[in-house]
Amino acid sequence: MKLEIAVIPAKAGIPMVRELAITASLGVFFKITTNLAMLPIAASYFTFTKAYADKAMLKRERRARWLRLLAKVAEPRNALIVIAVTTAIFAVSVWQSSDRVIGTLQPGAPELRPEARFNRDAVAIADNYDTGLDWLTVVFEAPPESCENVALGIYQDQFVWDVQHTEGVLSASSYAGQLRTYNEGYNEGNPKMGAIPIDPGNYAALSTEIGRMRGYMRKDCSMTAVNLFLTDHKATTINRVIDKVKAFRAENQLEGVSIHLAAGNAGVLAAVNDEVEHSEWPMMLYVYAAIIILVAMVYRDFRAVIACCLPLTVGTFIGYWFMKELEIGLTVATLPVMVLAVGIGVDYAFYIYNRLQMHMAAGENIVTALEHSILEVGTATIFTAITLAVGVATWAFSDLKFQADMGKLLAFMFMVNMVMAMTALPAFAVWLEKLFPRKTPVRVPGILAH
Amino acid sequence: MVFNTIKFVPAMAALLFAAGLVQAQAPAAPTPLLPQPAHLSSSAVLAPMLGAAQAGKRIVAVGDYGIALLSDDDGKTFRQAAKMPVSSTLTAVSFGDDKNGWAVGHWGAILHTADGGESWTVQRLDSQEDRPLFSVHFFNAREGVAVGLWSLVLRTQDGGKTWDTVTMPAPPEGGKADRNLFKAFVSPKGSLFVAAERGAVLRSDDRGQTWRYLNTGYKGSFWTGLALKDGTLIVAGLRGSVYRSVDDGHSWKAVDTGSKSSITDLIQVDQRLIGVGLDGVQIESVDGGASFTWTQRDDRLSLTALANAGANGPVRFSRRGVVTDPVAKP
Repeated sequence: MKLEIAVIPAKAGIPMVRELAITASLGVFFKITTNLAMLPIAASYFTFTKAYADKAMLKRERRARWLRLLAKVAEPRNALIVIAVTTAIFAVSVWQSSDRVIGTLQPGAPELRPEARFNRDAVAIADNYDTGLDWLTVVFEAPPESCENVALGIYQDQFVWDVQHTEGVLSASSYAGQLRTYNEGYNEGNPKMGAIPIDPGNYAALSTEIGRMRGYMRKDCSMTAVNLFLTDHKATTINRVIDKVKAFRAENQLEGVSIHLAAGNAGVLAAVNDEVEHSEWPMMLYVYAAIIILVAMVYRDFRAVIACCLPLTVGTFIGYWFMKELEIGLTVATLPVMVLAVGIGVDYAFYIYNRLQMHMAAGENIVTALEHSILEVGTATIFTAITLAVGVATWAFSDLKFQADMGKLLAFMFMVNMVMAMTALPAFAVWLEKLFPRKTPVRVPGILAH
Repeated sequence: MVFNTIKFVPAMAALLFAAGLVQAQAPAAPTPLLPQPAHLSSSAVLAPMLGAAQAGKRIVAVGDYGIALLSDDDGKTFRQAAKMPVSSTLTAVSFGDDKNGWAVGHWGAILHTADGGESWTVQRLDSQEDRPLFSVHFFNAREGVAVGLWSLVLRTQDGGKTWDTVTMPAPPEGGKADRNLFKAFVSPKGSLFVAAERGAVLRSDDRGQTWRYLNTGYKGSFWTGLALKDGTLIVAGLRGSVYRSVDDGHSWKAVDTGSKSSITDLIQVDQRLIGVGLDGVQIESVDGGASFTWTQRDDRLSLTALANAGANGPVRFSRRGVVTDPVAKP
């Protein structure tokens, strides 16, 4: 089951996410081989006495005593309370996560922690000098041989003025700015001559000189650049600047000249953020579609689809809320985490729901069937979730911030999905059976009856 | 000017061209230059300002991107003029009375306001010739003179409805009348002076109709000038040069300010003569310009213009707009 789900993000447009999806799929494939084939084979070599088995059963019963408390959720009245609480939590997390941020939230290198030496230096540089470590290059594309087109320089000069006082922009360095500086410089440094010259010959001559410097233009002025130095590359900063550029572009046009976003490290980040934002919903939808189709195929029952998927959805939104509270932005590192968490989360649902089906097929009513299911597989589910969560939670101590973020988020998602599977799923299942009574007896899904 | 771009650079480009360094290809047809209204900006007070004047109690400053700033509280706060039909650089402003003012600048622009600087209309614009205007002076709401590049002198007697180009005489040492004229100012007796390139000060006793050259003995450019209330004339410019005349311009004497930074504007506040310049320099004289003390800002922000602002002392403008930090004490 996990295999198909893990493959889905391979459709994403980001190579990094695609690679991760392929690696994860391979991992899941090996897990299935070991769990479903090698573990049973290995176990078949063990022999146990009846006394040992009885003792083990007794121990399990004793350990699972507290599960009886959890199993009470199967009672319709309790189930209703759980559904109400789940709905409330869902509503709050949808509301709270509505303005979560795409991209990184802290200044400095997003891979490193804020207190890392590099990031402390980055902040110090941005605070004390007007060149930050992050820059965004906006390119003005004009027809070939545009070095006598005075209007181009004037257009860009106005652009620089409109954009450079956006919050988050430390300074701007541009072709138009150089034109002004050169014009002023050739005129004794008189500030009153610090303007774009409108004589085409003079303008072209200055352009020729600026063309000798790297980083401002193509020799024929068909491409000229505005370099914006930013205070940091927080998603909010980059978006604010990009919005400003887009607004200028929409309100001011010059025939034949187009303004292109965006090179520089902040430009690359902006593009990645854009892609992450755009791939998030499709990826989530693919995963949910895969789950829905597979659950529907296996159980041939819409109740199963709803009971398995609704708690997952709630879990996903709680995850978004968690991300916002812990200032974890949606990035290339955290996007697959959220998607994979759904894939893993559906496992817990299967543990419970599969048992439920078996008991119901044996003629038990929903409430008893649920109680039995929880008692039988509850320990295993909780144990699995905790083991997985503890494993990845150790990443939280990593010096690499993105790894720490991934660890925290994964651990949280494993636990949330487990809690959802143990509480919301039974509650939903009970009420679905009550609201939509079955006309035919429950059939056992053959392929899962191992 | 030592090098005049507009004369020098095309010549150099021609040389490069001849040497085959510039590829000979037909350039794209240039887009015609049309004036665009100044953008209203929330950061207008940070725009480089180049000239300032008083309109009654109000301070009006003009600068880059067609931005005009107005203050009605002696320079404590400024707002951008709501309606300015050009976004080209404005270099100077002068008021004939409390309401009627004129701003001049690049593109040969002359703009008029009849409401103390709130809204402006174009009286002259010439984007064919790159001949910026650097200074403007109005004697009243009708008579005014604007001066600029290559001895461009424009004169009006009808509040700017018509502007006549004044033909300037050739300088006494020969050559064409091509001095850049940077600052027009008036003495208490009503004579009009212009601080100009190559150490020249020009004088007109008929409100700009006829002119003659005064010899100061200086070779560099004068960027600004001022007539004190007692009739003393001060001109200042490149590399901190200050020249002073106490005999109505007949003879001039250099005054050492101690600073080597070019002076951009001068103002008299009661008995103090204050000047500002590039590199954050401020000069001050308490003896009518006979001697100066100077200070320099730590950030070396180039100061560009001054305006009187009542009891608070002058308001200073810079490359980064309105200067808000307190005046440095010499």
